[in-house]
Amino acid sequence: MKHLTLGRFGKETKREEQTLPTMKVEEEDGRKEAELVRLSQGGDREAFNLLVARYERQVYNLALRMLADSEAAADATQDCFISAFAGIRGFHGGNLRAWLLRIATNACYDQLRSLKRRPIASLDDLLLDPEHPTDFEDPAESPEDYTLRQELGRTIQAGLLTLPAEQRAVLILSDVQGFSYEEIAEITKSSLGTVKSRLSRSRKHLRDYLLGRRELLPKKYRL
Amino acid sequence: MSRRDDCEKTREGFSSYIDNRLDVQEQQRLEHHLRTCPDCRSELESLRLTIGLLRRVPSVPPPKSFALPIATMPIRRIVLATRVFGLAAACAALLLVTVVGAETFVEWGRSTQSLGPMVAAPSRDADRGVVPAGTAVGQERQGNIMAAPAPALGAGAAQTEATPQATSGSRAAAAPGSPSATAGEAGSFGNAKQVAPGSPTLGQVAQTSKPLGVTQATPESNATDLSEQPTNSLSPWRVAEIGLGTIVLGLGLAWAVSRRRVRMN
Repeated sequence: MKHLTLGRFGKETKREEQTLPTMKVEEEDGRKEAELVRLSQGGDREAFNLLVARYERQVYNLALRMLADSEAAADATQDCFISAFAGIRGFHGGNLRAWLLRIATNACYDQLRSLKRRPIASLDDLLLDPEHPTDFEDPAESPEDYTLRQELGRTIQAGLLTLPAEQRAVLILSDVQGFSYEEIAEITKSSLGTVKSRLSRSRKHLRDYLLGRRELLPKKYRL
Repeated sequence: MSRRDDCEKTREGFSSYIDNRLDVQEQQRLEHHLRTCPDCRSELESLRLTIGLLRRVPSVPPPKSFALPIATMPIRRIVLATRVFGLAAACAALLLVTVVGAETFVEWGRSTQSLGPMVAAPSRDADRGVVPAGTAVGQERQGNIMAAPAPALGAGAAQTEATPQATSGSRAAAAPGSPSATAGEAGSFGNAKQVAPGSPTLGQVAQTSKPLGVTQATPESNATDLSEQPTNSLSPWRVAEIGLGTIVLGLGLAWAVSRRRVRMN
């Protein structure tokens, strides 16, 4: 199976292609990140914007899958980074990505409350912009496969919206973005047992949803 | 345990099993059950496919950069300034309300004191110190000139009867054609001693003059009035209210501008 998403699956693909020792690069990144955090805590916006550039794609995709609305997702993402900059002095080391995604998750919950989300009325909102193909697009993928994958994304998105917000967040973080149970527990401020339970229930729920709408799935992806 | 219960218990572990998060004992038990249960194998497979589909959901590039704008002033300072302006405006507004309340209370107190033998309460203008000409002469009064309803009095005799006490002092000052007499003619219907022969009588003046109130006041009120500001000037209350109102407006505007800068940044 081709892994075409970010997270642990994307990272694994990336690691195979790197020539530098992975650990050294990660250490270097870690040091740079710590320095950027330190500068941001002193009010340096340019340093903080480098962190924004590093994480905005992940944050935006989490928001997009949570809210199924590109405008709401953009608002939530912007709110996330504004809150993060305002509160970065409260970050005392640790996993910056988890810290940012926790803020992003809360921003999404706020958006859901204000939008009073309902089952999606139009799947058109979920169409990918054909002018901006994903980084993980397979060069060997045919246009038909690309279209099928977009259809798949829309149908799955509709299924995600039928989940309660907390289950949706866990499912997106685990199976769409590839985070481990421990990271998800840190992001959602819940126990490992809660993460496992929510993940199990949400996967089963989505599976039942897709089984009930097999005709919506491209033939290639039908369960 | 029935087969159905066994299946249910096994399926509860599918999610963790797929993620390799079961302990060894649990994993063995589950795999043992799968070997003998085609329904559970089918269930597990559909779950794996679902997870596989989720992993194929495409990643979308952000529609724009979410970098924060570089402000000319650190955002924290702007936020602090906003809070300071807001707090100062609130305090100034509270002070303004207090001043207005105090002025109202004082006004009410005065109006209560001036009731009784008086015909009318002192007007607001009187309290502001708008005193008609001739008030200085009123200082010499010691009685209520309106104590007895006075028909149109004659120029001489009625004056003496009305205010015997003040006669000596006033007569010395009140000579026809004197400045005080002129001032009395101008508008003070209470200065009977200054009324020259032929000039409007008390009754006539009372009918034509505005009820200024000062000359109708008690000596105590007169004393208070005379300590007031000169005619047509603002009272301290009014000055304070205008000043505080201006401050509240200015601080409110500054707060609104700061808040807008915070939002823009």
